Amino acid sequence: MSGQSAHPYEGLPSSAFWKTAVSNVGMFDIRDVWVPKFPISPKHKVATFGSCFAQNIGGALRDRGYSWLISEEAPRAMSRESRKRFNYDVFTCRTGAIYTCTLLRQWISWASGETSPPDEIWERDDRFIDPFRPRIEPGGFDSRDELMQSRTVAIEAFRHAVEKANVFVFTLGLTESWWNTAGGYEYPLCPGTVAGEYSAARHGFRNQSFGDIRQSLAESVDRLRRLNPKIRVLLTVSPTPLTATASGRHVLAATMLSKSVLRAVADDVANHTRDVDYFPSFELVFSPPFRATFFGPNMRDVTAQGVDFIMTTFFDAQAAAFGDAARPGAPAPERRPRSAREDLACEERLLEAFGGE
Amino acid sequence: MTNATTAGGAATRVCVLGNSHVGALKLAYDADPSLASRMRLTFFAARGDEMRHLRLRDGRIEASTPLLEHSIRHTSGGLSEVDPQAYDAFLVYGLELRIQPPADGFFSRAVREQTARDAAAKTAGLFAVELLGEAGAAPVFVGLGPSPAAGESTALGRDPGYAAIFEALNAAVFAPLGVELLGQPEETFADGWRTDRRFSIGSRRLDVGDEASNELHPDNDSAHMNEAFGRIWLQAFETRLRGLRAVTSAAK
Repeated sequence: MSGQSAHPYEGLPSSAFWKTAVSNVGMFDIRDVWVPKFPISPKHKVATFGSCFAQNIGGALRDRGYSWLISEEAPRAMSRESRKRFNYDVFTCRTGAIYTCTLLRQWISWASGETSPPDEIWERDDRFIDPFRPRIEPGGFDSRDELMQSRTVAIEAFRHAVEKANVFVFTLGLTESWWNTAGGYEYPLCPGTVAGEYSAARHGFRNQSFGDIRQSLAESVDRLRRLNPKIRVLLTVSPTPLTATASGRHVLAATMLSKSVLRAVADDVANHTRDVDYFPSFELVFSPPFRATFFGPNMRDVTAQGVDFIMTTFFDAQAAAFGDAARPGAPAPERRPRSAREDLACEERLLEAFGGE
Repeated sequence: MTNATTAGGAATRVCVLGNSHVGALKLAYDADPSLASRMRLTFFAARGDEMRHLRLRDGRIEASTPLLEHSIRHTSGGLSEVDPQAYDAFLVYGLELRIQPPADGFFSRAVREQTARDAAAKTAGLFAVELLGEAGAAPVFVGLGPSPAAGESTALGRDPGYAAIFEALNAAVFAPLGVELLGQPEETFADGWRTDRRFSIGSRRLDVGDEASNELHPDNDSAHMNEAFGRIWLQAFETRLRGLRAVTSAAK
């Protein structure tokens, strides 16, 4: 049309437009949500840590023939069920869930020797509970000594994992956090909920801001690199809503705030840090096109189908970008040919851009 | 429920359930008539995992396959079933139950015990123990199978860690079932966790009445033990039975 100048939206791929990329395609036909920054191949050692959702990643990697790094092995004869109960083969080592970036920074600090873990131990029914891994053993430990030995093993295993991993996958889970105000250290769970004793005088709540979390995540990446200069980091945000909030807000609002902040932090750090990428597992579950399909009846737990969809998207994106890892050297798989309907939608979108009726 | 008796000094009647490892005990028992005067062992044994085909029927333990029936009939000297009433004590020997050296690294007591439970759960030995329990058989002893033989033994003696694992296994699995766990005699150990090689040389295949019966095991077989090992083991077992008889006699 005469008189109309070119503009940035012309020539964008269909993935840039909601109509052609989302509303006019089926849920499972949404493509190119993630274009990975770096390859993750079966030969790469992948360490996984983070919130509860991160537990799904390691097993999925292993099932696909990838090298999920385990730096704290269970006794060989221990059954699969027992391993899960005792938190072996859940994350790369027995840290328990690391819900926040400040907890991650704390673990890295212990592993590097920069700081030592506090002496604090909780007791319950003559058993000893680790405040930093409160559910690591189903019935707690026999003694303080046994607890401390186990914790030392986990810290050493964490260090070993960082040193050996090619890729460090971290799932950001929470912004809300509980602290020992005098000691300046963080608990994964509020004291008194699983064990220990809550005291308003000793314990403080912090719903961390974008700035707090961004700083702690950037510092964590920096410290990971001091232990392993070549390590690459893959960030994800857990799609699992908050179980509860201490923020004073409705849990729905608190969940959206938390996920929004974490998503923004992950994006900002990934965009500004070399060898750090973000994988959109959160979007694949939480965003409107998926219609909460992958949540269970409680609208909180992600179903096995959801996990499978997430991991399939992960591996498909890797294959599309870098070739099929299962067949080293094989060419990238052919993209699924666009259907006539899609082509029509694309042309239609173009017509809209030119003002056609 | 059957109890060990003193019965005027009569030999204790022991039913032995086992796999190929029981061969060493049987060789030693058959070679020493004096043992029979103190304990009368009846062996119900088969090679491999054939003993998993035992079943309980009408209060007696019998074979559910022809192969197993053939084996136990031969090893027992003609019996095809175990009548729990006919014995004063029961011994489950080997059947995949043995102590392995611990994995490297630290594990809590709870982890070690759970691991012991998980390992035992899969064994023919625990299956046999539970079958005896269902049959009302008592007392039941469990003899751990021998540790593999060392290559060239350099130092005799058992690693102190063996006792910790033994205790974990006993606490986790056998004590709750009311059975008594018997370890491998300390004097048979070498290199801490292995059996002294001299107890493996000359071991023979369990005699189940087939062509391979009593054949020497190949030189590279480090799993099976010989008659000398069997003799030491039975002497320790007989001492334990004597203690049982003394307790039972005192109780009367």
